[in-house]
Amino acid sequence: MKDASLTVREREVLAVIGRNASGKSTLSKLAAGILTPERGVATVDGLDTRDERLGLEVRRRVAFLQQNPESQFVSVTVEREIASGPENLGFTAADTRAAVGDMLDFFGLVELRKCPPSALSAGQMQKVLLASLLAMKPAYLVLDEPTSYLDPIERDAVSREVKRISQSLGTSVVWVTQFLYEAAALPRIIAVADGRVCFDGAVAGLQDDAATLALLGIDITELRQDSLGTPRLPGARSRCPR
Amino acid sequence: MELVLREVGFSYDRGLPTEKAVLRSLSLRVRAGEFVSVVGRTGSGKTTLGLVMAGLLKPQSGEVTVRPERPEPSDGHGVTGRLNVVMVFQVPESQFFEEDVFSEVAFGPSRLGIKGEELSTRVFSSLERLGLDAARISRRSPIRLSEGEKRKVAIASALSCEPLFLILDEPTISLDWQASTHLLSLLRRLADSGVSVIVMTHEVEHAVRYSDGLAVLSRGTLSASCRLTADDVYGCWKERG
Repeated sequence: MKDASLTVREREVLAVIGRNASGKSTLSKLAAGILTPERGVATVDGLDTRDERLGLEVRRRVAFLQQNPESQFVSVTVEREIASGPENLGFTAADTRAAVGDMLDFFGLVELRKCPPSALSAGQMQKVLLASLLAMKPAYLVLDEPTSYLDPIERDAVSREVKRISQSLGTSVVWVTQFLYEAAALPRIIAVADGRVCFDGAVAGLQDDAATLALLGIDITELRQDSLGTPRLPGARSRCPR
Repeated sequence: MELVLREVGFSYDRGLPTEKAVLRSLSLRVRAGEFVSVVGRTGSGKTTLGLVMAGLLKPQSGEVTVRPERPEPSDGHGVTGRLNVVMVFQVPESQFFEEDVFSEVAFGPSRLGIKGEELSTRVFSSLERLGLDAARISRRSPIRLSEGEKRKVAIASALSCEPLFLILDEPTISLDWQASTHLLSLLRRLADSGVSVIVMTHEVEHAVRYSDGLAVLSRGTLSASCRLTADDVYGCWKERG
């Protein structure tokens, strides 16, 4: 990253887009306090992420989700997975139980609570991981390409969950994505190119910004056709070919 | 030449209480120079099907054949210096084990008995077919390249075996929008040059746009057509899973 500045406000949902190796993943890790800046400063509710004594306080406030769901499980059942975060943060047993119960309800996972994560689909795994992060009651959620490994139907389901999270729980969401249509559905887009924030605004502004589109390698005709349009996920109106 | 799957069946944990049937009496025919996409949801068995087609898993019922048959080297040192079917895995890093790109791409053909000048020519031409600058990249470590370059080196190392059929498992995962369309155009050109390309993917719009034919994988069987739209595929997924 080079001289990148960004402020994420309370209850805000924003997308971070950029080409491979543009620095978008690094930006998200800096925001989550997983990486600390060599120059400049990253703060979470005023807490400097470079200050090791504040590490736990930063962790309480920001949760981070990676691309590949399979690489993130630490427990043998869905229920234990969701409990692991609150336990590590020192929640009491009663508070952990309550948080797990709330999250199982919120994500509709009650029936799967005794399942081993390996028995779940990739989409269900990401939901369980979202539940395990939100059980820690973070103020900010940083998602690093959470839908990359999912098929379009699972992607759509996870996207809807993320919007529901921000609306119902008031969690701010920083959502790194390579799917332009996912970004286009959010009120604010941050575009990263060559380690710099090259755009910060609404999708309408991006569509009109030819220089930034060129920098991002986005073809305007692509963007109008499907990439930045609504996700093309129709109902089951066509029948299965035989 | 054609790659034919006839009533292929495959289960994991066969005979155990945890047995899971992934492919059930599945049939498919891919002709020379065709670009076929197998579209399936995550967990539908795309990777298993690719492994079976590539001969990396043996079907438990039915058969996989390349017709008419071409002498396939039996011990890795055959005379033809080619492989019929080669598969590129979903995560490029999982197939890299050499220290530089040249050795990585040379590995396949060198096992097939290709040596010296001919080997270098194959490596360089495979890299160049994928639009890579062979001189710049050949001494670099494959795991230190960009995502797009890694993907291309993985494909180059398959192409250097001069396969008739190239199978790619989710080749655009973790590639950005530009790298994805660039790679698919490249695969389209490969198919036009006579190499059959078989892509296992859940990116339906890409599959519809670049393939000659689509096969929808669900519940262990295929339904195939050359005229499926994205709506047809999503409809099928919603109906059958």
